[in-house]
Amino acid sequence: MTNPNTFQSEDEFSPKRYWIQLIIWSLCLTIPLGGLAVIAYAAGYYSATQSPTDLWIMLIGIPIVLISGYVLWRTMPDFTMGEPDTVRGRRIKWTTLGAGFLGGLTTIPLIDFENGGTLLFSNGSVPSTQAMFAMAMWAAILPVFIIIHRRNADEVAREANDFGFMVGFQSFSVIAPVWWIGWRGGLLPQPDVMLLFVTVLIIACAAIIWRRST
Amino acid sequence: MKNRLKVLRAERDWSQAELAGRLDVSRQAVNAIETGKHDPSLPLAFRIARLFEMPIEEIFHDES
Repeated sequence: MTNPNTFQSEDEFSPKRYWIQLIIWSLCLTIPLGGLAVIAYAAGYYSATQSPTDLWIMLIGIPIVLISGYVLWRTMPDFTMGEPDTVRGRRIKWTTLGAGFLGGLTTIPLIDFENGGTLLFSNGSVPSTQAMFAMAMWAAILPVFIIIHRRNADEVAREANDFGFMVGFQSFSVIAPVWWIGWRGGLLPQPDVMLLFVTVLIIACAAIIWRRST
Repeated sequence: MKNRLKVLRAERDWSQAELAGRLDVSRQAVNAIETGKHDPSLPLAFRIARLFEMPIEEIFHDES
């Protein structure tokens, strides 16, 4: 049994140490992933030109990718952030991943890859089928994820979320009318709904992260 | 509000994650309560008291 008097010195989970480790690990992940891309390109060129340079690139690249991949696999950080494996925690994890995946999936049909992806934030028209798909995602499926997430969050997470969205809405209640009046007065460009949404979302997320870290 | 959660946890040799699992909250929640950054709701305070088999007032103290 741990002596309560010596418990202060116990090495507990450190969010700062965790994030530093995660950032370094993620940066190092570019070595095997970048290496794989280089090998794939070199293999493509080699099959077309039979150039010995491409063969050398592949021969050097393959062990680098294998060794760095193995080292990164062995030094993989704890993605749970020290959280216990509970049913509630798993539900939150899957709904968060699901919401992120659906959000990404919704935007893909709106991106005009042929013209540099400008369609997403262009305010231009989109085909009605793609619009219906995106609308269904945001209006029907995303709220379900939000409700499941909310019901499974513990009181500390819920309080942080409430604080973040309160800050977000208060930011909205300042930014939106100021921008609108500024536009009508000829001082600012026309208000952009998506830009407003993204700005408020970033502010709310920053407030949630700040609340949870303090 | 001050509390003895960290000491009670140490007496049982539980990590924050272990206590969080027993209370069905996140480890961050346990940390926030232990460090006094968050005062638990009454239902959670009762859960903590039941887990440690102690009255609430023996775990949580009003600073005033």
